[in-house]
Amino acid sequence: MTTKEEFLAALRMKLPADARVVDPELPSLRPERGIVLLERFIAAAEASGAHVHHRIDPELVVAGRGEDEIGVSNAAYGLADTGSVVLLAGPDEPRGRSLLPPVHVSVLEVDRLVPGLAELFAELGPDLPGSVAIVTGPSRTGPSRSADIEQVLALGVHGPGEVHVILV
Amino acid sequence: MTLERAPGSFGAAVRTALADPHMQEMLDVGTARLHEHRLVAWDSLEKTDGLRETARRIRTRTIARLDEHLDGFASAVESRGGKVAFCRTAEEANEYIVSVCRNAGTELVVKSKSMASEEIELNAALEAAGIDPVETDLGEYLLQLGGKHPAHIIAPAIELTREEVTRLLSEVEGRPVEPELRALTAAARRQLREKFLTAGVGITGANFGVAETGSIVLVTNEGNARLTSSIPRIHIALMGMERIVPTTAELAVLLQLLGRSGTGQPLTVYTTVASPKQPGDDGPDELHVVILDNGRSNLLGGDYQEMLNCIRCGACLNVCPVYRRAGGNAYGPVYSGPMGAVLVPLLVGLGNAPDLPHASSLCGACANACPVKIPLPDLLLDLRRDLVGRKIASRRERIAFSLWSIVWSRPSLYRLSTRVARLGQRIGRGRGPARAWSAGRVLPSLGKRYRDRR
Repeated sequence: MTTKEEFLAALRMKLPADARVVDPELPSLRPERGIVLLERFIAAAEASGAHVHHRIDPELVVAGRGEDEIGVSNAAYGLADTGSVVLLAGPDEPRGRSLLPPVHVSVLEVDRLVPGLAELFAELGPDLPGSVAIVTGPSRTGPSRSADIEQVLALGVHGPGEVHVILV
Repeated sequence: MTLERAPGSFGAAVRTALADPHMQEMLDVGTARLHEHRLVAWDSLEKTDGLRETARRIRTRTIARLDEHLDGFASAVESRGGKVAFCRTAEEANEYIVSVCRNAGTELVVKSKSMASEEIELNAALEAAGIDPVETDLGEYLLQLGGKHPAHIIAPAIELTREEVTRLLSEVEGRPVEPELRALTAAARRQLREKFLTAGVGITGANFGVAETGSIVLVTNEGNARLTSSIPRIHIALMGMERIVPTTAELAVLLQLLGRSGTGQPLTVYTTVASPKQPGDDGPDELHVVILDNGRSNLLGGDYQEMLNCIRCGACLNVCPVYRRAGGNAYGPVYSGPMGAVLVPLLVGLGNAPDLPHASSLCGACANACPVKIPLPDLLLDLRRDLVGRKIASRRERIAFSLWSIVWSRPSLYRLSTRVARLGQRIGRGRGPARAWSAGRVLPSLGKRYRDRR
């Protein structure tokens, strides 16, 4: 009886390293999920000016701040391409909570990540809640955004000037 | 009407703009930065040209059935408890909005940036009815305090100096505010937050309306549109009738282009899709959507229909060599740059804005920047042709062109004309009006034509 090692060693000999790389361009056949989306989300959210916390006790983020200062939201989705959190208005998600206080902390479950807008709207379907708020980083005005006071970036003009995303 | 422009007003405004060094610097810095950010954002996106082409097709298909989509949109809004008003003129729209505010018994209205509301002079109509409209976009708030009009679609207060901003905000505070960015922003936030919490009505524009879902889409970086559409008890959205998309699938494509083209952001900070509220939501009790024609139907079914594809991103302004020297106000109080030069004459009639089709060097940068590929230089040329054809062009221009056409359609006169031109080139250089133009340029010689060389 041939052992597994012998069997596979015979095949291995016929397939040298350079013969193994064929058509590396074939696109992934799995819908993007998990780690790929997670890494993309974190990079994009940080680029937008949000603070991203992964595997951290949410208490640590809110510790030492007044209750009026912080609004906590539960994100229904996260967009990996842009690092956005998506808030659906309803009894459990009042609009004011993520909009009025100077600090917004949004809790996002990793398995609620989708690649981008197209996938988001496909998931939501045609029956939308009163408000779908797609939030990408802190409220701002400034150079790459709008150029209101001598075209210098200012944070927290209306919405929260500090945004944290806690991935759970 | 506010959009109309007297002949000669563009040139006069440009001379003022050119003589203002601060404005020139702010225009340079602002437009160059927005332009660079756009290029970076485009680079980060794969298959950009494919996406632009898709967007162009989406817009063209939608406008071709605009009536059906608007019908569907209105049904969707109404079936969910919202109200829709179709307004053919600025007056109708103002009347409707004022009546909603009056019925609400409010004397204070908060507004988030809306070019359409500038177009219909909504603020004046509200003030005349004893209602105080407060602009909440930081730049527009500052302009309103200073009694000025927006000079850029995306960066309305592109020309304000820090000293002016400090003075304006200090006046409202009733005490001096430190001329430092953080203090200025905090003062504006405080002043405006109070307005949000007391206003009875919030008025927004609409970047898009989604027919399938009956939703209004609002895009801002500051979050003022989300506040305006969430905090007051009544939300009125004023939407140009062409801003419709059939479903959220088309919306997803256009949103990807809007932020990148306007400010170079993959997505603006706040993208809000607002629909009539559902039970348990703390949003406004009433949503009114005001659908505005105000001259837009002049473009439907004609040679300029493609201009209705415009998504108001501002990219064409930032690349336009004329806009970058002239500034927005030279074009009039609302729409400026290449898109304004095309749109305004079409909305108000060519005779009421005869300068604007000429406010372009036809370099083509705008068409290259346009995310929905509107051939702006072609449209400007067509408008110039119409100006001549409809005898709106100046008498001198018309005589010159009819002479040209007589001369160049007769071989003998044509030959003579080329010889005169060569002579004129030698004599005329460095004299009269040709002097300023030829001083910094090397002119190609009007060489002998093939015909003469035989």
